[in-house]
Amino acid sequence: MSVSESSIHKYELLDPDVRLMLQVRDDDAAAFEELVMRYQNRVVGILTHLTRKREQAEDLAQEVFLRVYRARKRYTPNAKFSTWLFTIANNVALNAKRSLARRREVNLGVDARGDDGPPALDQMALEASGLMPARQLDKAERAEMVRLAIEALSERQRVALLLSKFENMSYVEIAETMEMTVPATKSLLSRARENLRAILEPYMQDGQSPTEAAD
Amino acid sequence: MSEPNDQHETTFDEEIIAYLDGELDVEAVRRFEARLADDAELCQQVKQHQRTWDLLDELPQADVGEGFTQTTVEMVAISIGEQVEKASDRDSRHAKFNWLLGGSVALVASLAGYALVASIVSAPNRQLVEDLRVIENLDEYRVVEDIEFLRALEREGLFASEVNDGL
Repeated sequence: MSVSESSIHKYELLDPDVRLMLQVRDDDAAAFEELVMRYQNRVVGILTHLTRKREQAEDLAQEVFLRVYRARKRYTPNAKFSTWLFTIANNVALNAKRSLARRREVNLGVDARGDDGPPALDQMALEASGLMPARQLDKAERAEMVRLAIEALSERQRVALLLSKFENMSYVEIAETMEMTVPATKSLLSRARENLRAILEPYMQDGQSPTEAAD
Repeated sequence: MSEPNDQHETTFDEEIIAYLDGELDVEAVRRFEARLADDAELCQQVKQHQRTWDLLDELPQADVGEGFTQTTVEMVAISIGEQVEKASDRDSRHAKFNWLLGGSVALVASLAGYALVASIVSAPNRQLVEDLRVIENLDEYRVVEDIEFLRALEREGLFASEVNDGL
């Protein structure tokens, strides 16, 4: 993809993190440290949701920053810095998953479904029933319920949803990050949100688990 | 998974989500909101989507702290250092190989040159050795003009002892 000079200049002007990355390109170690500080929580957060393991997420986040540094000399600001960074993060997460699959350590649970597969509502209810007593869900329980709901989505739906929610990315930016078309992104997000609603809505009606609601 | 292509037609579900995500243009927003005002079921659906979306805020946010920054920067520095060291070793090995190769080529070239020069330099000597019998008897050859007479003398063995003495 050819990138016009005006486009590069635009991102350099508008995005302070692009300017930092350009300093990193010029071997400014302090600028790199600043970028790590700015993005570490966001990268670890996304990777935690993707890998479900905090420790692995931190290792992968370090791999992401290492790749950023190694790629510094080739860096061209043709998008927001966060778009470029999360593209790397997404690729690192996918590689890690493939590597796990090769070692036959893949979890044959929710991820074995296709993108359009129905959310595991029965499984969700089962897991939730162990979590929720007959009372209003407290914050920790709500968080656990949401985490389970997120995990019930396919990986691509999860990535798109997290980028939209926590990185405030537009459809165009998500499409760039996930290397897909904008219409495909729109469709993916729609299915992700619909699945999420189907999973969470029963719990949101009155804050009780489905089994309690049935009683 | 089959993904929609660019000619993909937006479904109404997608339009609902695009509306909530602020991805509709002004005219599409106006049309959507007009429909929303008249459609209680749609209104309920939009509210549910908004509620589940807001619930995502319940997810705990990662907070890795300064220790992570420090270890990440150190890890990157070590990794880059190792990379540089490997590259340096590789360059060093290449340099050694190049020196050896260059030395070998120079040695072979020197030997070849010496052989060539030696052969050129020794060529006149070889010629002198070959012509020695003639040179030694040059005075006699000058006074005898008939080659057949000389051959007869040679057959008689007249020059043999003198030549052997010379050698």
